[in-house]
Amino acid sequence: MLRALIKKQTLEIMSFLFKSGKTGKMRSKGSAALYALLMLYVVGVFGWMFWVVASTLCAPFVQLSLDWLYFCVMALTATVMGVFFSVFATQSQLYEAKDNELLLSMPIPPRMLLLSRMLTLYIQTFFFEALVMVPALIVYYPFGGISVPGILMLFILPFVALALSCVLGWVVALIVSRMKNKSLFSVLLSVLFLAVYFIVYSRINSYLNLLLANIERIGKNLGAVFPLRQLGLAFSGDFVSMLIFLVFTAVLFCAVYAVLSLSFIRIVTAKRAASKRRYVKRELEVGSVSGALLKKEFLRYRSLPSYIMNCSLGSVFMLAGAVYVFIKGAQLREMLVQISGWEAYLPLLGCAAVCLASTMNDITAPSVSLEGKTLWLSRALPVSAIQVLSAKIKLHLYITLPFVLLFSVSAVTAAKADFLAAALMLAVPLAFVLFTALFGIILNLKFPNFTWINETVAVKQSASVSIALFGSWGVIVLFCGLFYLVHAAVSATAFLALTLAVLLLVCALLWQWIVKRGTRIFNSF
Amino acid sequence: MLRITNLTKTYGDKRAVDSLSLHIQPGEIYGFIGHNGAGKTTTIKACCGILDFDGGDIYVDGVSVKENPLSCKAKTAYIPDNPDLYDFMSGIQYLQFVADVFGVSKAARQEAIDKYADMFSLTGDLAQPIGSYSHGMKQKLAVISALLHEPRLIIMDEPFVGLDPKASHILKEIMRDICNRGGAIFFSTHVLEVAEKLCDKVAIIKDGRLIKSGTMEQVRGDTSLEDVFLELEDDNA
Repeated sequence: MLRALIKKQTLEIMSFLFKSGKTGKMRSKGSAALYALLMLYVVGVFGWMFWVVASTLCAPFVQLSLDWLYFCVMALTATVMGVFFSVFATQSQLYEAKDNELLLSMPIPPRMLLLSRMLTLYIQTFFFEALVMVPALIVYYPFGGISVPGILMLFILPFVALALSCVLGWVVALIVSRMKNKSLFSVLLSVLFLAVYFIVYSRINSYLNLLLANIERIGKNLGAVFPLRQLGLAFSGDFVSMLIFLVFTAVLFCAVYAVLSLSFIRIVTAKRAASKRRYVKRELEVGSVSGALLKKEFLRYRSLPSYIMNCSLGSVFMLAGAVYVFIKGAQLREMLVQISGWEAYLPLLGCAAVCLASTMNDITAPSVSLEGKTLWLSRALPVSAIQVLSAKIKLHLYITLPFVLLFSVSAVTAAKADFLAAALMLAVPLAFVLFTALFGIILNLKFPNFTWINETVAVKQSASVSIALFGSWGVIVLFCGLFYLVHAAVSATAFLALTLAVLLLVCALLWQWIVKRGTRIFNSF
Repeated sequence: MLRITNLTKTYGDKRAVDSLSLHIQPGEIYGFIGHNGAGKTTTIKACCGILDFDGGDIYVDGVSVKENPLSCKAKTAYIPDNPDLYDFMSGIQYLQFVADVFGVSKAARQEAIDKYADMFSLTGDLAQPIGSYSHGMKQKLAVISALLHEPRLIIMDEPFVGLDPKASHILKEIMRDICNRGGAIFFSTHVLEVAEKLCDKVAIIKDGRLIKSGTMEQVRGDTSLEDVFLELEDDNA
């Protein structure tokens, strides 16, 4: 039974890799290879980041014979990362999975269902932690080699993060189940997590320097915490410490599992008991068809924290960017001007920064998939496919454009651009946002997924979202590369004008494609 | 009101519907009966313009569904067997959405929503998110939304599934009322007793082919609809 449950859970999570969301059939080899490449790219980026951190720390720690402390610091980083990335997956896959009721109606003990979900989450947590610990072990290899306990610890450590994220996810699910505005709470919590992440990330160098400056003191303090010392020693090759840490992990995991087993059904069903609002008859308003479709898109967007967090984070970045540039614009300008010849490129740099931040908004990219089982409504109602698709594009524009304008105005002010450059600094990002909106919807029409059980799958594990994000980055890199090639002959302002013309032309072509081919594809779903 | 001529729909090598022809006239409640997988839902979805078809045509009030789907959809209402509605909307937001899409006037929507929500005892729940509704409540909401624009033709797939006895009774009265006012109803059901009591005409389909159709008396004769259905199923096995 446990094997069947784990298989089902793994299939659901991994289905985006091997199965087409549109047909439910196996993907072609080319498509699967594309996914594999994307995954490798993401793994590569994160792996490289932690390789740099490990390389900075390893030698100084080993020189002081504090190998255990090096591993302890890296393992703590891995655990924090594991918890950070798993806590929302825990909430959605453990407590709010849409097939909870179906499975609970079967002769499956709730503790078995819980265990199967926790073990599947273990695989995800293992993946996140491996991104930190594998580079840490490789960097350590020239100094002390790789031991069997060290490799075994790779598999033991994720249980700690899993236990912690299960408890945190439980707390989040418990709070959310008692709240009226669940989406808002989830979004605020996510933003808080993200803010912490970015603060830590932006100050990582100073933290590392602080760590290196206080190695011995930190070693003394952490060494006093018995499990942490055993954790470090186990990774550096001590077999007895590995066994001690294994016992510690087993006790922690079993305790969390036992507590959650007792309350699993209560948590899963608690959300049904939310407070009820009674409808009072009132005067109804009349709206247009396009207004109704746009409102529908907005209500869906508002109701899905994962959609907001994954596909419109750019708005937060652009707001933060606008404020930052507004306050620090003069200093920033001075810094850039000091680099020889960069003054002339300021409009271009400003534009690229705004465009880059706007790529984090991929609202259209999963919007067709999110129709899911309600797709029949768009087909049965007297609305055309282009009306439905236009509403999705409009939502993308309405949520992105105000922040793009704000960031652009701030960048224009800081760059002290002349009238023409300023106009182009405003126009190019607007055209780019239109391009990303159209590009996203086309990608989703080509790579739809209507078979999801949880919306998170459509949003997070969607080919269209990944390609939209990385593809948009690719477009920015392409334009920057082009400018690098022609910068001697073409001024930044002229290049921006050229970019605007190209973007508008591409947008016109994409729109034509949507009207002719896209609507046909939508009607064929 | 609804004319289906030689409708053919294939899925790969399988003919889900094979040269099916039916004519539902104004004032008729037309029942559509068949075993699971007989092609009922495929036919119904094709009539609503949800599903493209390979051969034949479907006309709503003389207008081809293939040529002019939006015009046909504007005159039709569809209630599916499984009402997957927008869970992220409240009941009233959904009704307002449908009313906006169909261009229902302020007074008409106000009157229709108040009337039907009261009839189906759903008024108090209209502020709740649809995601919190039971299957029956969703079905009631789907029925109310289908009635907002006073459609001339209502196409329903197993409309009584999930409805409580009172709601089923109300729906039957509404169906008869619509037909008395010149509208038409085309619906599929597995409940032969309901079809027998409610329908003016009935069609029996098997493996995508029409095997019998006509007025209830013509199809049933002196026996019951259940006997006829079982006999036809055996004959064509």
